[in-house]
Amino acid sequence: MRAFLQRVALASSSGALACYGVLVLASLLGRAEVGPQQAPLLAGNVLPRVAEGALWGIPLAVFLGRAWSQVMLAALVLSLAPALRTWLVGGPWPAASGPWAPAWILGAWALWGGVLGMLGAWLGGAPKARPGRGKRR
Amino acid sequence: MRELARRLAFLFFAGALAGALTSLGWWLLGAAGVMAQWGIALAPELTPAWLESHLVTGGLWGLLLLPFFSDAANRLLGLGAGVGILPTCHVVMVQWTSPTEPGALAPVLVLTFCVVWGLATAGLVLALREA
Repeated sequence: MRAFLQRVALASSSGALACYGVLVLASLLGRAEVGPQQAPLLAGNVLPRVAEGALWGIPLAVFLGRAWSQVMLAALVLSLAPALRTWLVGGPWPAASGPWAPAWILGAWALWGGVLGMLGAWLGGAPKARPGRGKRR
Repeated sequence: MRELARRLAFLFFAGALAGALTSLGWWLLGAAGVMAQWGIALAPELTPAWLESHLVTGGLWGLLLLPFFSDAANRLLGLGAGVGILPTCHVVMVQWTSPTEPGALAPVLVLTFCVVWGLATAGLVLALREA
């Protein structure tokens, strides 16, 4: 029970931190007019997004403690859920319009998934890769 | 380095969960009309944005317990309650124009909820950390 609660805490905190990082990056890209303009980085905009990242990160707890590649793959697959939700239902973040909107939404959430996977695997203590079957000891 | 990051993650999660729970309690008090009865004009509407904001701010305040992460259970609970004074000061002195702006009893209620938040955060940290 304690171990699972720990994994939930690690996954959730990783999701929050990853979301904050991607939020800042998207905002910087918007300011540089490389990407779509995002809402200003004020508490009213940032805090709910960070909380969303924390909540979406929780399912990764199931995969923490496994190999790096498995955690990364799981995080990237999990990132599809908020991306699809934002694309289909609509959401406040990331702000995107025009023909490239789906790519921006998917890209932002995929980046979140990548950072979530890296943080989760590191914090969760993913075991080192074992030598393959064909390798000598 | 990894152990420090894990501790921070535990503290953020504990503070965030405690923040969400105490926020729900705060909303319940407002929805039940208790705040209006006590002359406190702070009853919030339960919206995702409001709850999410309190979740994250609770997590950030929870990081203050980092120096005391490994302390004995009783000490950690006491310090958790003590740390609850800081968000109270922030709300009363920074967010409000005067300490009794929303009502004479408002600072007492905020202090009570913040101390409960601190106790809940410390309790969750105790549940998360290794024995």
